Amino acid sequence: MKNRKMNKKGVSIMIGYVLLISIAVVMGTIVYQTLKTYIPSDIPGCPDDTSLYIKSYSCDNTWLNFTLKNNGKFDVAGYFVHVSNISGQDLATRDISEYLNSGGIAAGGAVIYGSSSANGISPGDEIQSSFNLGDPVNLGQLYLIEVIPGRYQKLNNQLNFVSCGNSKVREEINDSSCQFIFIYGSQ
Amino acid sequence: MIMIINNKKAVSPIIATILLIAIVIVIATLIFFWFKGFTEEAITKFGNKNIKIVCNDVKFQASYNSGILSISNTGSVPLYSLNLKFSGDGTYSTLSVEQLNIGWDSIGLSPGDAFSGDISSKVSGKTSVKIIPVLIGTSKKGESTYICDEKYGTNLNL
Repeated sequence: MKNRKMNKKGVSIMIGYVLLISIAVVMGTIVYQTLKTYIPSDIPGCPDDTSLYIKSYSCDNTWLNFTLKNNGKFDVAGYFVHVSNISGQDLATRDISEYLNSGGIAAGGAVIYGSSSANGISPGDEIQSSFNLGDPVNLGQLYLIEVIPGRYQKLNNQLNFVSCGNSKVREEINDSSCQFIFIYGSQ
Repeated sequence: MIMIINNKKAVSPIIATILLIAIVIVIATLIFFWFKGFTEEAITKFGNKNIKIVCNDVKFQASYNSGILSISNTGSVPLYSLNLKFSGDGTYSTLSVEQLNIGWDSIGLSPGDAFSGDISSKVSGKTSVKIIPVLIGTSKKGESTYICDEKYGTNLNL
């Protein structure tokens, strides 16, 4: 029968704790650094109840005019506007903001209303915009207008102009006066 | 009876401890760099958000009509590019929208913006196309593109 007397000393209890905590902290840091980019965070976006609708439109072979109304619950800063001059196209892809004549300021592919960095279109407000789509643009027959509201949204102390894609509105056009072609001697 | 007297001295406890710690550090460093090769580098967007998660937030509409492909970016994430996976006749081929030479802007499609291009010459014999978003983010190497998973794509019949 073996009788061993174990009287060897290991590390002290205090050093054991220090080592344990240090190792845990180091491992935790490594795991955090590896996975921190996967932590969900918000990206700039619009509230759900943001809405604009096309109240009316008119064309006269040179000008496209329309009235938008904010029928949502939040202020809006402006809108993105696209038209389609191809029959049967489901999405309007031609940006006409650069042809804006009155009713807002064209900036960065959008039409901004009111002062910069403020959401100037309050719920219930109506705005009118006018676009010159006649000579020299000559877009041809319009079939579709699509409008996406946009608003300034603050996130992480940074103001961003965000599009409200969920609130996109469209208006199909069946109006021969919405034909923008060059007519010799008309201007 | 043989009696061996071992009175040779080994390294001192201090040296042994230093050696032990040095060896551990060297081995840990080797393992770290070896393991690092297996892990892919994180590409981030919007500050420090992994681009794989950003793919969840991509929203766009797509349509195909008479040879014209139309895309509208309805989300808050810019689309840097698109991959088009054409299927038909039991085969498929993937092309980036830049390869199609249909006028895609090199800076991509901003939120709220829209694009259309004629792809009629590319769809012969194809029955469907899957539009897969490609995003751009930043990594330690600088700007890097990332192709979102196919589940974030939109399928169109041709």
